[in-house]
Amino acid sequence: MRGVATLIAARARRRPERWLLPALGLALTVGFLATVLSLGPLAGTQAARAVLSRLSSADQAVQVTLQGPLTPRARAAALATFRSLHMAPPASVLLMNPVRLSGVIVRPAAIEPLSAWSDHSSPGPCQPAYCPVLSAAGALGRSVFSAPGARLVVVGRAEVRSAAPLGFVPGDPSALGPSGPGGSQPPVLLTGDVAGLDSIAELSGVYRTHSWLSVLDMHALAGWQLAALERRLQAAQARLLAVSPQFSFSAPFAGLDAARAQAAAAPRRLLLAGGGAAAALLLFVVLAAGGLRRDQAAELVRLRVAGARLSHCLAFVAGEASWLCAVAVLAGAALATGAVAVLGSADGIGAGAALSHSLLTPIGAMALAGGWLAASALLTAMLVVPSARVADVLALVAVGALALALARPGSAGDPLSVLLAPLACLAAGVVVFRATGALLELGERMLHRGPVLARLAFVGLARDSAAPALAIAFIAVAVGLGGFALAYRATLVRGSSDQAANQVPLDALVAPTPGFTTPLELAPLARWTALARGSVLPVRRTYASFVSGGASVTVPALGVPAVGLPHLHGWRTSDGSAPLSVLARRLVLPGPTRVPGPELPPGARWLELHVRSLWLVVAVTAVLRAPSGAVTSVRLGVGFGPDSTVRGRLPSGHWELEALELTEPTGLEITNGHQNGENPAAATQAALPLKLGGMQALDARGRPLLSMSLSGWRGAGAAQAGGANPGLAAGPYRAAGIAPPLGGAAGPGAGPGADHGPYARAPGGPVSLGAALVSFAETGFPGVLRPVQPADLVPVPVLVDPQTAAAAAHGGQLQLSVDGLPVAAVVVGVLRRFPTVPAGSAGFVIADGPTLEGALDAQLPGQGRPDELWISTRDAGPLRAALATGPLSELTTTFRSDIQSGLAHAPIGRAVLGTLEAAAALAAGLAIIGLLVALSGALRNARVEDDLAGQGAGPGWMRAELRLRLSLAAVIGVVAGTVIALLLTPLALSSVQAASTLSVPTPPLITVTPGLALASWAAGGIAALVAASWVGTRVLSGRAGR
Amino acid sequence: MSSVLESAVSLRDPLVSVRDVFCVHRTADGDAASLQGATLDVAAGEVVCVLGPSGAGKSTLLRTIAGLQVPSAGVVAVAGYDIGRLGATGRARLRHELIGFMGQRSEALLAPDLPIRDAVALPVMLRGGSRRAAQARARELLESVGLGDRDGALLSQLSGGERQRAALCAALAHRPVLLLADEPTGELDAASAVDVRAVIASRARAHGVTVLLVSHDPDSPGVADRTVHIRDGRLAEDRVNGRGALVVGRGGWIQLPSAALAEAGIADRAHVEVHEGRVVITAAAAHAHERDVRAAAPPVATPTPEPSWAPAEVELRALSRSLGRGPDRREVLRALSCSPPAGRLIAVTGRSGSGKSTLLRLLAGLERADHGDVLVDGVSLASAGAEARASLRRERIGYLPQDPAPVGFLGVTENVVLTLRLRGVPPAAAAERAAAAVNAVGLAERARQRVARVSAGEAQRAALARALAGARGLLIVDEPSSRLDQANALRVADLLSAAAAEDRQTVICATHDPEIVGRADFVIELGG
Repeated sequence: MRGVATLIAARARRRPERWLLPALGLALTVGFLATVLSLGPLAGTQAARAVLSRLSSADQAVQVTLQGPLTPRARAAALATFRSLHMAPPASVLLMNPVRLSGVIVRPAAIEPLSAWSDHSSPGPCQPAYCPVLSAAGALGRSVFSAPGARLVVVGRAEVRSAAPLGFVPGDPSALGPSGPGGSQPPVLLTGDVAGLDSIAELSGVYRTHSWLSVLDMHALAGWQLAALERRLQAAQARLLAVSPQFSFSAPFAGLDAARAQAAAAPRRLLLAGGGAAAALLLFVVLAAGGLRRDQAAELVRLRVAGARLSHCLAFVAGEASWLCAVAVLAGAALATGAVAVLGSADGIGAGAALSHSLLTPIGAMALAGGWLAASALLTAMLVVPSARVADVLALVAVGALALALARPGSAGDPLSVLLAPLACLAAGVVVFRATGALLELGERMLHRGPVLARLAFVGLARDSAAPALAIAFIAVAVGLGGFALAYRATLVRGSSDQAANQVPLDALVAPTPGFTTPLELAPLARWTALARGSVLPVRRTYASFVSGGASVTVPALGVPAVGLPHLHGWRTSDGSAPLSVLARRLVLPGPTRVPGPELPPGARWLELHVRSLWLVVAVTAVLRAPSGAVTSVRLGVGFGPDSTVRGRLPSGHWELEALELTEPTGLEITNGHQNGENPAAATQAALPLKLGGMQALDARGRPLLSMSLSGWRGAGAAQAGGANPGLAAGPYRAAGIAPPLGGAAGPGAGPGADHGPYARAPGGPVSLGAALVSFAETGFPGVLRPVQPADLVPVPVLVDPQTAAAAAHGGQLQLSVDGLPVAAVVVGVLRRFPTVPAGSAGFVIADGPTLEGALDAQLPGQGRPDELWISTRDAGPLRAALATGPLSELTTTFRSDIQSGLAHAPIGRAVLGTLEAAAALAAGLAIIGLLVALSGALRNARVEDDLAGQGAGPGWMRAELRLRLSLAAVIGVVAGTVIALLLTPLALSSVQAASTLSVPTPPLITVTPGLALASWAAGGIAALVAASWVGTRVLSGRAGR
Repeated sequence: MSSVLESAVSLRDPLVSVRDVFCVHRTADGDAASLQGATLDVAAGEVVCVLGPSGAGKSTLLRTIAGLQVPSAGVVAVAGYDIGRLGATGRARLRHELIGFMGQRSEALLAPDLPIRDAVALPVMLRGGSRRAAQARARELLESVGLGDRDGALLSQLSGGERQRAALCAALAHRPVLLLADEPTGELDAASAVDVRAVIASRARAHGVTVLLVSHDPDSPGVADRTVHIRDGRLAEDRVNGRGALVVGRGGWIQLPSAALAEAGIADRAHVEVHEGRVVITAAAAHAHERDVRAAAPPVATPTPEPSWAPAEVELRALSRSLGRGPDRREVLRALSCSPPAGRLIAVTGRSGSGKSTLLRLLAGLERADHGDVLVDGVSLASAGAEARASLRRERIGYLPQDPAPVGFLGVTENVVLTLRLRGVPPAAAAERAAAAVNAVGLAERARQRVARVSAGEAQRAALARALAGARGLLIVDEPSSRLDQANALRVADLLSAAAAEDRQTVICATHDPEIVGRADFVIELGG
């Protein structure tokens, strides 16, 4: 073998440039694959950190809690736990149960060191006679809290920044208090001296807990460290519990589990995507090595003639392939090392850490060695095995892979989907390779009587079609891979956009505070509109129940202004039974959604009502509505007897009398409610008649300003009263064929003497006029007397899901119970989904917001108030700023762009996309080189060139023919690649889903064919290839031009 | 397989046995038969010179004996081993232990990336020799052929003759029992050829090396014990010590010299009579069916009946041309001047490497002379640009290169049409003229067949049809009969004569074929 080695060394030394292209291709392929492999842990770390970053500081803390008295042994065990976890010395916390000091219930606590968890340092040593403390819950009204033997003196205020040490944030209204969210917590008196507070004998009887906590530095954790950390935490927990059962140990196990799952998923996804792409890039190696085939084959012939045995020949081929691959693999590894070091540093992981957990590992070394072996075997096989046979085998694999790929586009969640697309792309490239020769010959024959230059170009390509076919196939693969990346990106973006729009249908969604304060309670709609610089949709979000098949089904119910429905983002035509604009129109009632009550004059200060109730004591409350929609109640008093008058003082402002609420006095209400709760058929229920009338608005001196008739009003809830609304009777509901039983019309009033419509009576008129006869049932629930409302006359139009629609009666009639209030609805459309409806809901009911509000208010005034706002804004800046400060910051706000950005930049999805895009870019660059290399070989084929020249082709012809030939190859390759991309587009869906952390995104992903982007990609590809061909031809055609 | 070398030494007669061997070349461009029933025995230690025209199968015979090619039929035995029955490993081992091979092209023998001493030493090292011993052997051999001072040069730094001498050294380096040499003196000048022949003879005599020497060189038989002539893939004549005898093949095949047939007036049919122990062969009338076919076939004629052009006037003025660079630079034409007659058949002759093809490429404007000029119809090609020369080819010249490359996936006629379309001939007219040209070269029955599917000779005739159809006063053809059997060679000779005589073409033909040379009106002999 010495002779073979000498020959190999001489060939390597004399003309190293011949190895440049295959070595370049292989080095880039290896570098790319190694980078992708190495990026797996980095992407995993990013994904894990994204999960961990969502944890609050309390959730990131490792905490050891001791219930009961503290002993030195217990303290030592607790501290040893943190040492075993290599964590910083923990903070020590003492939290006592509430205790009454100086008549006030307070909660002494100590955190040491205090400055680590609050904005204040320790106020000093705590002694029984003088223990300086800080108030952690605002002003207390006094500064000394004492009991015999204990004197806690408030010396300042402190704000505890986290719920971690105490389990809650003192003063936080959202903290769970004794009465639930927002409930009051006893004020916390905080010291920084745990031992001092613990040693106050007077408080020794107060139950207390000792805890030690330290926060894990989650942001510095790498993906590969999570499992070990979790094991250490579990071991520490086991050791601690073995010391004493009074210990409890908490750590972010759930967060670490989720982060670890993400970190583990990333390398697999990237490996699949990158591995497939690298397989496609290997085609370039085959292409470039194919150019060497002639040279090596000639050397093999020389060896055979010289008497070499087969083993010599094999050693020669394998030896050349081996050293070439070794150099390329090392170069690729160096490239990858540099890339990973740069990316690791950029990600804050550090170059050393990134490398030591990717490339510079035994597995990394073995992978490189395996790559070297595989590449050497490939190059050797290319020379030893007849290429046609190899291509045929590859073609079979290609067809199989394509069939498999296209047969399973819907296999969501299958991680192999990520691998399948690039592999199918490669396979399609092989098919293109095998088909190109015949295609070129066919093209030549179709041009039989066409331009001779075009014929010659086809002849030039088809004469020795192996190299052009390989170049065309490589272009096709590169374009196909790029097209697939575009489809992947489009699907990812569309999926992110749809998911974001499903959570936030417009641009922002403002939900109530944790204490259930709604946005409109904090600011009027006008202010929101001004902040948004766009439209604001007040939305009522509640639940509705209906009976289906004998069971009660509860589904989310939304009242969304119909006018805003067509503007919802992410709506698909397939989501509804009709276009959303059509459905929106069906939701709107033909007339007003609410009939207002009489408007009280501006000078009105009192409201007075005559009540005739012979058998029942009834409490009367007036429900007032401000122009802003805010509802307030004014208790008028208790009426009983044949001639009682109740009166209530009106709050200042402009008000409309929306309704009168009749309730039983508190004692009876409780009794009846309790009994009715146990037995609805209880004997305490009775429906008794009342007569309400003489409703007047009085000024400050008691002079009547406005008399209002209640005769047309209708009862609801526990009250029964017939009424008519002449306005409605003459209005659109009659025109719609709906005959209202009673009529009435709203009439806005502007002041004393103004026209108040049917409610108005002359000031000082008879008080008995316009009385209402009411039957009030003692059910424990209020009765409502108010003007006739549209909801009394027509059902509320609703859009529902298919299951709910199936539960509707003939004509779509659906009797709903919304918030426990009866609402007659009619189904006017069916939707497959609706944004903001939680996944897994049994269905949903969507109504026009004002209509639903009117229907609910008709049953119980104020019940229809909107909970949240859907905001469409042209400039989110002012809105964000307003929501970040002041009382509005308490609201729960979500911006669609934030969600979309978060989803689109999910580390794994982004890494897979980056991998595909990098592969496509690399492949495109190599395609240009490959095209020039493969086809410029024809220029060096003196036999063909001379033959053509001998038949009269001049340099101009030759140059034009070569350019046309290159352009033809480019066009054929790009067109084939575009077809491949279109065929593979459905696979993008399953690939995105496979790379996603969500198994079933909501709404489901849809296939997106980025037509314009694909067309641009194809056109750009052709332009780049043709331009490269022209430039290359200028250089290469020197020979032809002689 | 036991040691082949030992077996070979023990076998004295014959070392090489070729029995009724047929050899078909299967290539991507189609199949072609080269050996067609060749039979030959070579005794151990014998030096045999194989002569014959180009395309007769000489090189194939050597490659088959070397095991580089497997016979399609028949038996080739070397040292008792049947090449056809040996696998690739066995054939490689046979070469390894027994054979030294020197092919026609030295570039195909010596690794271009190795210094000559290493390239010559490589066969020794492949056989287990140490590097030092191998290089010592290489130096010894290179000294013997006068290349001792150039042993560090690369192949590209040697002249053609030096390469051939180095290749011979490589073939002899491992002391083979059987030396197979294909045209070892083809690119050598006379003095070098004498030296090389002397080396071969001395090695053969001194070491008992059996030599099979293929050559066109008329002096080569001088070093041989025996000379055999091969034609149309068969051994035709065997000559020992100046006395020749026709070879009688299996089934009684005897190949008569074409000159003798012509003198006896024998064309397609002959009568054979045995008279007093002698075989008498006389001309016979053609078979009735053959007569019909010949009557139906169009007469051999130029493609266009009434040429509208005048024969080209060609003049060579002090034409010089060198090939290669640096030390490789070799002057193939020196101050060549002549004015061959227009409208005549001009033969260009000379030994291989004498510059025949170069001269034709200069005439066709495919190359430029270093000095001097070529005038075609008074137009100087030296001063014409590349486009102008290409235009001249399209307008006037039909050109058949030595190694034509017609398009394999196109039919015979389609290839001709393509050439005519390149010259601006309208499709219909091109089709008509192409059909006529294809008919003229005797490929009418194969007109629609893909060129890849026809034999090498037919492909060459297709290329000739292309040249005939495209010529407008000047037809330049390079070795048009090199791959043709005798009958087709005669047909080509007829065509070229007719092109000059009837089609108003000036026909310039580079050839070794005596048939064409014999019909030439004017002969340019190169290298003489």
